Amino acid sequence: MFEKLKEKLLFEKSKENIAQRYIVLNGFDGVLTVLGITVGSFSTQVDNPAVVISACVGTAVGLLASGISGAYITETSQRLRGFKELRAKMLTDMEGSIQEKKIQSESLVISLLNGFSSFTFAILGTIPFFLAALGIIPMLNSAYYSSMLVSSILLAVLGGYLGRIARESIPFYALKMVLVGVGTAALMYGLQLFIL
Amino acid sequence: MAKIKKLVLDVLKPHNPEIIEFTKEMCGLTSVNSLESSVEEVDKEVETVQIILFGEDIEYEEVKKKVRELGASIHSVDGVIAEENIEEQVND
Repeated sequence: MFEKLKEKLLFEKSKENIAQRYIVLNGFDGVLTVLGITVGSFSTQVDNPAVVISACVGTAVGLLASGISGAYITETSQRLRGFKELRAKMLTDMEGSIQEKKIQSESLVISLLNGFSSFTFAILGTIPFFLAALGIIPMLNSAYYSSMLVSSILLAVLGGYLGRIARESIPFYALKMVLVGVGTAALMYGLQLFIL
Repeated sequence: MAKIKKLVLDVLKPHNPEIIEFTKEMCGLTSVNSLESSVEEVDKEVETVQIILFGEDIEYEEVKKKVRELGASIHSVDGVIAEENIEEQVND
């Protein structure tokens, strides 16, 4: 059923690759953004989970909106251009053709994947703060450490996925992504120490 | 009225949908029983395909509509085989 749906919405292999790229790229954005907020809040020892939650959720919603709208406008304009070039070669208006119909459907699917990828990954990194708000884990510092751990796992998953796509070493790619996360966290922490 | 049993068309189509997908879609037409297609010429974004349709009573308008829906266009009708319905003639 999933294959059928995929075939209907994205019948070309190249479109599937675009979707994969968007998922990883924006997932990466979502994780690192929340990691930045987490490290920033950790360095100032914010002890109210609501403050961190509102910052993370606000950012996630922003990423969702920008991801959907940005990708939709970009994809539609690029596809429209491609369609017009094809139409010129075909010497017909191609009105009502599947190529014309797919401009909207493909752009919509890719933009939704784009937006929801960053949103989902950002929210996953925020879960420990929700647990802290519910009193399940202490905010200082379990929620912070848990969030950083979740972010590292998510980065490793994204890296592993990239490794699988490239048919290269999955652990190596996972490690590379985690190191980017560690680098970001170290940079953020260093900047906070410098500013404060 | 004679019925079209075979139709040979010269079609210009984009690379996507690919020839297999294109042939399967065309074969899904109610008036078409089987279909043979072969790529004649390949350009950067388009290709010329010869399609041979077989059926008991091929509806050309239906074929034209489907070709258009798939983003292709019929360049020319290169061959037709039509047969008179013998049963109808006997009844008349």
